[in-house]
Amino acid sequence: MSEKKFNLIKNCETQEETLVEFTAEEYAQAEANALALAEAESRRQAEAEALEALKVSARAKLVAGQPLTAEEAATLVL
Amino acid sequence: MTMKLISVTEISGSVSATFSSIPSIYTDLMILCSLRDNGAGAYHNLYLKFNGSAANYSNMHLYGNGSAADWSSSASEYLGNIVTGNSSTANTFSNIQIYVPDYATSKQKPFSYNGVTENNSSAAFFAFGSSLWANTAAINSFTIGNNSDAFSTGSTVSIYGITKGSGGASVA
Repeated sequence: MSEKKFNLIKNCETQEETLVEFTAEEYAQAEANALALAEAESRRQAEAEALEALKVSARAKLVAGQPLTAEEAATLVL
Repeated sequence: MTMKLISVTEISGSVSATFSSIPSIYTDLMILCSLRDNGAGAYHNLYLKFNGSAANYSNMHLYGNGSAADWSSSASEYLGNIVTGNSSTANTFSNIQIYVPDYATSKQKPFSYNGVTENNSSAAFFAFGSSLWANTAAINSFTIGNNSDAFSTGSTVSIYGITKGSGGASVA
């Protein structure tokens, strides 16, 4: 069984605190949000790795005097 | 200028925390968080919703981890991976500051934030952001959370009300 999720509600005027379990709708929304975030993070990491690979290749080719592809050239800051 | 503590709250055991009935008597709000959650991974994303709303946000932020820095823009309530996760070094927490000027006015609400996770390895994360909540309602509550995993023992949120000075004179 999945762990229960709670929202803590703090009244800043009275300082009273209440722990309220998520509603069914909140559980569903949290799951959907978590999935979307995980996918976005995977994409971000994949893009960052691809960019780093292009930069590494571009540097190596510059040193070796070899022509760069358009994608590798685009990683240079001029 | 004066700075008054409104509340300090430990939010351990909750996946989100809502701070309501925020007094409207101050000029600006400053929110300081020290956060860690029980989820696997070195860091997790944190969301911030004013008055329960997940709409009309725009963010621009600079971020980095142990090996690269980048920037991004988004139209969501998420601030970035600034919650230390349970795979980070034990007993470490992220440091987060959120500043909301003119929170109780009938203007749109720009705000800034910065956050950094703590981890004794290369997998740490920081983010500096400039954001806008395009809503003219006075802010009387906000919710922070991460969707999935409960905040760990010791995770705290402190809220300060900042009152502007007048005429350049110091105000007690």
